[in-house]
Amino acid sequence: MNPHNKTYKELQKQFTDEEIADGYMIPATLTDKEKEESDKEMRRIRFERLANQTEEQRLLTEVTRLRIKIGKYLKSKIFSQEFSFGKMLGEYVMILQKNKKTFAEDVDVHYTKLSRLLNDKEEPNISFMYRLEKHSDGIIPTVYWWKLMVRKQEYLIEQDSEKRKIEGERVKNFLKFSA
Amino acid sequence: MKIKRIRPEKLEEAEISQIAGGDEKIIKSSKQFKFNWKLEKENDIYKIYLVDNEDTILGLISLIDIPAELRIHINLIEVSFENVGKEKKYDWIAGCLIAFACAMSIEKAYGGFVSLIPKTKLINHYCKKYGFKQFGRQLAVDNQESVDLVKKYL
Repeated sequence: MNPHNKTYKELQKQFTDEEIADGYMIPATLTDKEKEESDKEMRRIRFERLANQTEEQRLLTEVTRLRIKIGKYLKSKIFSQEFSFGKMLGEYVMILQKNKKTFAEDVDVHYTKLSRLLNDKEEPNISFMYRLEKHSDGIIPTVYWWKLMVRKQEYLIEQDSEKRKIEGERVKNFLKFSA
Repeated sequence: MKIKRIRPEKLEEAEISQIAGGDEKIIKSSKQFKFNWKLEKENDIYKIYLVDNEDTILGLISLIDIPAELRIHINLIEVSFENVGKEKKYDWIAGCLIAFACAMSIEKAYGGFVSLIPKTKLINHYCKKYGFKQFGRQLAVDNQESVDLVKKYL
């Protein structure tokens, strides 16, 4: 007996089947034998689908995995060099299993420029980020790449006390409020 | 991720996290959840809530990770009572929870494979609304359909 059946029956008095399906996923009632057979069947299907997975499908889920990874990092509010623009771009190129030269041609940048971007020696411009979005078929949006770059810049601004001091010395007639 | 407020219509930021010790009491005493979630304690239970109102749980999902078969199984989903039916305040709650399971499957390199065994009468809805395919008694999504759910809801 499905322990959730009683609640399901109560819900049926108040909602239509469609409303129930919209708000709940209630497991079917299966006997032990039915469950065993169903699990066995699912195992068979699962391995069959795995065996038949195409390269395109692998690529699709791997690029989506990278999107989720970047999304989680951006939510965290911290800066990590491991998630720099260059590192994430490098991971993207690795998923594609393409060499850097071919990828540089794909996104219409010079190979040297791509190398500098991959090594975080140069900041990307927005045009390049739009190209990356297009390259991933929209799975990794431009704004994700943009936020990766901004996250690093925010960190550098907060840390760079030397530059702050130098630039501050060039300012005249600045506002000064008493505490 | 965003869920849709019905009136006035607008999108609001939501989050999903694993339930903590205190949540169990809230779920049990709340009139918003009709199922006995104690029965799911062997599984991983996650809650969805608004970023601006973390105390109000809008929905729950019970997941089983089956690494040997590279799949995530959804055992139970329940949207808070006030968000079910014609008078609901928010939409997309169940969609976000299902997409969360898909994202977990993708992160674990399971190819986005997510399965469930719903009541027979409800099967069509899951197929139509979320792109699940029927395999005997079970429904499943993977690859493109799973990615589509992540892109739509998360």
